[in-house]
Amino acid sequence: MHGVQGGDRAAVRTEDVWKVFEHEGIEVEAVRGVDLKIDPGEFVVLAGPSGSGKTTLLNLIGGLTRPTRGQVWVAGRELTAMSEKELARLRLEQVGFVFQAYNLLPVLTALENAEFSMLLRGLDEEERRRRVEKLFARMGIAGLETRRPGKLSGGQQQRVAIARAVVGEPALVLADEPTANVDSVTSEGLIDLMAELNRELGITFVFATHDTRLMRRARRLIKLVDGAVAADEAREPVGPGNGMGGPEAAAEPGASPGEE
Amino acid sequence: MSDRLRLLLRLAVRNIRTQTRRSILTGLAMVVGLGLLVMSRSMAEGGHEDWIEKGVRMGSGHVTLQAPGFAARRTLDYRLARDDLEAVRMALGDSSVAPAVHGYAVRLELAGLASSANAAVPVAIVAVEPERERRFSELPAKLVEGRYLVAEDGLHAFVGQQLLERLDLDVGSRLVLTAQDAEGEIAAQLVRVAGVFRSGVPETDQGVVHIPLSTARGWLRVEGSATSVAILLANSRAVGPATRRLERVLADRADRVAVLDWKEAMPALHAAVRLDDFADWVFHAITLAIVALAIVNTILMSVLHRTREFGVTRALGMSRADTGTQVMLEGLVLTSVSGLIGIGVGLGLTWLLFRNGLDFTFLFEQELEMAGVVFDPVIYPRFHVSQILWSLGFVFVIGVLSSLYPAYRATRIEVAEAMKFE
Amino acid sequence: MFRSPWWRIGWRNLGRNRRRTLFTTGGLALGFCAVVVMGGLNRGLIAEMIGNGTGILDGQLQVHDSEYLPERSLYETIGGREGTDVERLVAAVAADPFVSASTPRVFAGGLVSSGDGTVAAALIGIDPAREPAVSTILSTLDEGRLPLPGANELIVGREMARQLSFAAGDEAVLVAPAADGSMGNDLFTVAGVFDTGLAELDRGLALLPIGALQRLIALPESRIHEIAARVEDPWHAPEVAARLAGPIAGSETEAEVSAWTTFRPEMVSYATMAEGVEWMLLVIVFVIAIFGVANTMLMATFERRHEFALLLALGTTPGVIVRSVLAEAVVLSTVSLVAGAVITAPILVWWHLAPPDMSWLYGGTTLAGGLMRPILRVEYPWLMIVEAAVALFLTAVLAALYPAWRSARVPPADTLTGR
Repeated sequence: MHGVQGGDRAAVRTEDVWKVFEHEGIEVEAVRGVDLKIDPGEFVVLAGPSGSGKTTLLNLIGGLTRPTRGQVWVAGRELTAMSEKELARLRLEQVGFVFQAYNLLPVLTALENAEFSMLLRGLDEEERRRRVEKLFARMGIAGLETRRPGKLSGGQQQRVAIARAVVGEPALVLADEPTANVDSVTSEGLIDLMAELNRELGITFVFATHDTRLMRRARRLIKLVDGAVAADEAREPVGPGNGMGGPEAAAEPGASPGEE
Repeated sequence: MSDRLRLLLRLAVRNIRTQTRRSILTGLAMVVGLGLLVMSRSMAEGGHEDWIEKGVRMGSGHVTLQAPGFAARRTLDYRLARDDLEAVRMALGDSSVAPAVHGYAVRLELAGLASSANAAVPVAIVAVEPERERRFSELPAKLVEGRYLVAEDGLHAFVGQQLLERLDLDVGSRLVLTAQDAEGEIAAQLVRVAGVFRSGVPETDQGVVHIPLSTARGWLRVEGSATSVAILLANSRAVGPATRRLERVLADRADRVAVLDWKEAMPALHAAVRLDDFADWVFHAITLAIVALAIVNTILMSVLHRTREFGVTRALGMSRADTGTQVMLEGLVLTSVSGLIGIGVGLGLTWLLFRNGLDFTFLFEQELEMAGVVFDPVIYPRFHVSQILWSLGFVFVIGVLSSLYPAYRATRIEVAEAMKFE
Repeated sequence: MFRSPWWRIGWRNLGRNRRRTLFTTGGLALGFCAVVVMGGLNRGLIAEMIGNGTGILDGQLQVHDSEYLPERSLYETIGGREGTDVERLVAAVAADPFVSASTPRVFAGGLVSSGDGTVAAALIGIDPAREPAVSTILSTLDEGRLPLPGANELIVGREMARQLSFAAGDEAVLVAPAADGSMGNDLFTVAGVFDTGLAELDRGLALLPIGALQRLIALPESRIHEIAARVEDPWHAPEVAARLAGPIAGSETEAEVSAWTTFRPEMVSYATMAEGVEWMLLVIVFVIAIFGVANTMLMATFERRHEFALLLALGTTPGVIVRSVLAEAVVLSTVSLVAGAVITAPILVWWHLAPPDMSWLYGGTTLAGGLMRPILRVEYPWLMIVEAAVALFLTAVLAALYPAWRSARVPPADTLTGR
């Protein structure tokens, strides 16, 4: 573990992070001096219009992009000094990703997709199966283990993707527009699910979205404008179950396996 | 195998199977390339082996024993004396040598002049033990008229057809052989034509005469001796070990008996085999390079199409090395499977179509001579483990070479870029 | 057709994915290069075989008495026992525009002895002045000098010199059956030693001035066995032989004119076979290339299926789509051909002008009786170049047919909405 200076016990911490892209000779400042601290167990939404830098900030936190300037800590470890290999390892062990377009590997079954990171980490098969089956059951997608992504609905695919992100019990899950490709009912189900995982397993969620349904459920809303933090407020989540979706959430129509 | 490697392998295999059409097209190129390689190698080996065997049967055997110096001077001053021949017979009976020896022929070879009332023609006189020679040499089987020599023959000769024409003789006619005897005197010997052969090699048909060894020994005053012992082995692969063993057994006579293999004794034949092999390998190297380019292209396209997928797996914690390995495995699995099929198909087809010989007669109008041997227009394949090992080596090399660049490209993918909108 | 926009569109489409185009082009260009270079080597091999087979001694054209072959009897001289006007006949042969030189020869068999031994040899009487313009054997002299016309001098092959321990200046005794039934024998001086690389010649051949040999075997000057002639392009020889046959045979003697294709038929046979092999090579290389091109075109057209769907939706006919894909294939093959020519030309020119020494690979050998030296010069295979170019175009177009057909059958509605 790296030193905890500046990182202390925060899940994520950034210090004056900048990201400047150069595109055909024109410099674009996508992220401009963001200071942020997200504690373990938070349920945070980064909001802002297209081009406000949410995705870039998410990529910076996930170690997918290196900052032009500034530093980023995840689970107390500073990212900018890390090698590619260390970053890959950090992502494997500490960070889960959920993408807008599900991005399941088409050649793997639902089960294999979900256990992907555990496979890379070398967990034994029994342990992997136990965790995935437990998670699938609680997420309402039990019985779909052997299906390929092509044979799953959008909602089911995104559930598998969420399972893939959380099954390794990471310190942090980064989700970029996780609800953008599904209908509103399915979307509510997904949000409920993530809120529940956040509450019950203590997994930190950081979203980048402009889905208002998701924003309403956030317990902290960070607004980005032109790559800088414009507002950062804690709030009471509103919505179904008050972010407290229990096992019954899986039974709601939007989350049922039969949806198309 | 680690779980991680197994995962990468699973991804590779599934990707190949999912992209069915692409894999089949690429695989087919590989199947054709490797199939051709295996086929043509087994035919070439078969052809060469036949060629070498013909050459060594016509000539001086897979291995030949002579007095040192005979190869260069070819006179009776350099001959194997009675006790040398006795030692050679012992050596050939030695338990370390005998199993490899399929036959041998004791000969006395000398240049001389064959003359009739019409003409005088320089010839190679080969004095033989008729019964032994009949089993060893190809010439007795090339008989066109009369008969081959037999043990009881004395003043008889077995003569090439063109030589007979030049001397304007027939079977039963007499001719005079003139050569220098062991004392350096010019000696003539009258012999009668017992049989005529036609080998198709102009040099042989114009210039070779077989006579009984006993006749030559009396005529040339070399009782009990000979100039060479030609040894036939199972095949050309046995030459190296057999030569070494013979050298060991005859070590105490190294100053009297030299051991030469066919490559030394018949450098032109060896050169021809090497040349033919070289052309064959160049051809395969080219076809396989084209196959490899097709594979590079396919795998590269597959990689570039799946940029996003590689972005995802990287985001999920795969390292660049993992991504590279995955692509390498994809290339290797594709080439190995199709290569193995190609090898199988090549072997199978060769066996099915050509085990009874591939007839090239349609290509030749005339007998074709190369390096003093007439090609048999019917070629029989010959299979050997080394061909398969070579082919497997090729498969592996193609697999690695054609996957390297795509794999490198895959590791260069920038995750954040790859994850942008489709 | 050539003003059609599809050519330009095809070109631009190839530019869309440069790397893919590069690899496909590379494959085709490599195939072209391989076929052409192998063809050139093959031509070189044939030229070497024929060049040496006919050039070292035989000549491309020979005139004999009609009874001389195949026995090669001492008595069957041109014009029979009376002989002929040698000078007039030699000149008559040389008069043909394709014949660059001609020379008379006398053949005999005999024994050559030194103090160390005796070997049997073919004796050929040559004209030291005229022979070099017809055959190359005298230029292979590597010791001493040529025999002087009419003198009792001879040159022998390297191998024979070794067997008899000859050096230039040594004395040799020649014994040969003569035309008068006696055994001719005489003392000669070894003027030099030649080394053709062909064992048969180096071991068993002695060359002496034509007059000296005639004296030895008791033939008058008017009696010769052969007139050998040089035809610069060996493939013209049969035509020259046919043309000369009339005048030569008609002029009092019963002479026969034959080209190397008649007296060395195995070489023609080999050349024919080698052409067959070239064709096999061409077919194999391009059949393999078809897979590569088909695959690439398939991928390229699959990527553009939305484009095709859009074109179809806008009312373009399937035929136009097929044509556009084929046009792309034609552009691709043109580019490949140019690339192929660019890589092939230097190899061919270099290998033609400065053939590398391949003696690391093989020593001298023989092919259909012709010597093969380990330095093999590539000849320009013009016909093969044209054939390979045609094959390249055919390959690309054939490989594009299926992708073109598929592209024209993209279901517009599904493809445009389905994404």
